[in-house]
Amino acid sequence: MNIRKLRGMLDSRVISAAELTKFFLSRIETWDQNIGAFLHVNEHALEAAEKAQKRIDAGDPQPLTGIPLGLKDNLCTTDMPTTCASKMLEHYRPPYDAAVVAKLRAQDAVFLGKLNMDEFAMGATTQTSYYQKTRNPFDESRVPGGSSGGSAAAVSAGLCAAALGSDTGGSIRQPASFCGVTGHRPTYGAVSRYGCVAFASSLDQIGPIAACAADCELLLQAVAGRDEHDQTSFRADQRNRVRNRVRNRSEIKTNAASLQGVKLGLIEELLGENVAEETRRAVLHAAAWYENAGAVVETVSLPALDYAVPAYYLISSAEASANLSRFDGVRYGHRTEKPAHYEELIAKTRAEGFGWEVKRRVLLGSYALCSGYYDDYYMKAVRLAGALREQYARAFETYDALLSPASPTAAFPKDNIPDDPAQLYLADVCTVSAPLAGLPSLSTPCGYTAKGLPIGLMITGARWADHWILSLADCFEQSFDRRDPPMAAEMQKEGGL
Amino acid sequence: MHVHYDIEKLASLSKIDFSAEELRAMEKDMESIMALMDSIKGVNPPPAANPGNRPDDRPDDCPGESARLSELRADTPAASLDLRGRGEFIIPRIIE
Repeated sequence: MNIRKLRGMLDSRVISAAELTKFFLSRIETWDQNIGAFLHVNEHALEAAEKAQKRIDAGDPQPLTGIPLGLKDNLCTTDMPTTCASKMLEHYRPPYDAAVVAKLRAQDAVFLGKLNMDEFAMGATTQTSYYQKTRNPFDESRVPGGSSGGSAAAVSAGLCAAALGSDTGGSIRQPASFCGVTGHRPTYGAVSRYGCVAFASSLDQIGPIAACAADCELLLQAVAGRDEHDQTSFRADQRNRVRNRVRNRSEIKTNAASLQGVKLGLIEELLGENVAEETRRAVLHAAAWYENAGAVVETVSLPALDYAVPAYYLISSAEASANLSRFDGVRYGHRTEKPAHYEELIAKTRAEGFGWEVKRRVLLGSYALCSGYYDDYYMKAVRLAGALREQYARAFETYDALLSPASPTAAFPKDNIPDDPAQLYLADVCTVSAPLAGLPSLSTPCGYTAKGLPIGLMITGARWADHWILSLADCFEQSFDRRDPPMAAEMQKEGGL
Repeated sequence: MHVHYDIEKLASLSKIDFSAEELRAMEKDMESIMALMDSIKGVNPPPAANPGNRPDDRPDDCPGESARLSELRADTPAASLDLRGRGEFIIPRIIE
């Protein structure tokens, strides 16, 4: 059920906002024990629905008024805990709302609760959460991806209409791919990160995960724009000016019959031997669909992608080690008991409060910033990111968008996560380059494995081409036979909308 | 051997307390991770005009762009900007 249909039902009084909210809360109560997507269910959701109903009754509904949404648990909310799935922030209640939360509240959207994630958004499995492990609705023995795995799994399982996640190196697109939904990482600067707990400030971006690209666009329109609290954010008119300067082909009308004149690049480095055969076939099939619709599709090479994974991990870990220094047992959250002195207070608090993956990244970041290694690692990584950015810019002089898989494989089993952290990091190869270059990128389902697991097509655009890539995805989605997870049939027996 | 830094000192710099057993496990993980990170040592990309997501990308006439940011960028080319809340900067500094 997409947002547009729910909007129609609410506005035509087929269902009230309270009834819709009760429907989703009932689903969460019954089915989330299988999925483990929600860390906290909002006890004020029905009050918010009543308020939304008054707005609908007054004839003033906004696009998201009364629509039940989920929020990743790194987005600050005054009326719910914000834990980042970490013991460090257990029971933490922020004194302010994130900018995106405030914007959605202004539309009277209904928040159903906070969604599970990898601790401090570091991970690709949603198994590093301190509180619970989230399961993939398509196969509960498999991971939902991460770090926004709770958001993707909740949307996929029909536990909320849509959700917000955050993407530092792929944390929206990879779980969207694993869970068979659409996830969009906006251009860096499109959405304010004020109130999104910082992981790597030059890469973090908040974005939507929804049932389709059109719903992602609705959410993006609601949360995008300049915010005085985030100096990297843009006003819409500034954004348009930049976009028009960079590209003038984004106004091409995209529908299944008129993609003539559109030129798409297939990224050679992301279709190599490290990509599963079923994934490669599904992505090439999607590329063929675009060709049949009139687009020209060619192979394009971005050699700097070979170094994107180490560059990403060095930059993001260096920034994380600085950002997470604020968690010291004094200002926020967890504090160790009876420390002997101040230094011990900090070291033991961090030892108790952080999980293993977070500790690993902090150590890597400290290492990369050490005198003597700084130029060899951090500065080299920054220069590689610059080279990658320039290669993308050159590609976008020829191509309107780039196609690739969102992940080298479909969702893998929970008990088959590699022990070697480097192997797990290498699985991020498809998604880490767009954040390094500040580009918009999305994942939309394009096929299924023989075991019925979703495969995601990644579409990456030039800066500020968010609407353009969402339009490209939308036109593919209209022809693609998207499947619901197996649990959907059981859920329908209990009543649908 | 890829970890050139004393793991105990690294843990101390990171202000995280580890048991001896945890340190051994972390050292093993870091060995594997640094083997991956070392793959960039042999490459020599040219200095990029705009390396990273910096406010350099903002339109020239963007109001609110402070001279403070430009100064900070000039002084600290590796600066990572965290401007969420209270206007503070979080800068990965070289750890001596």
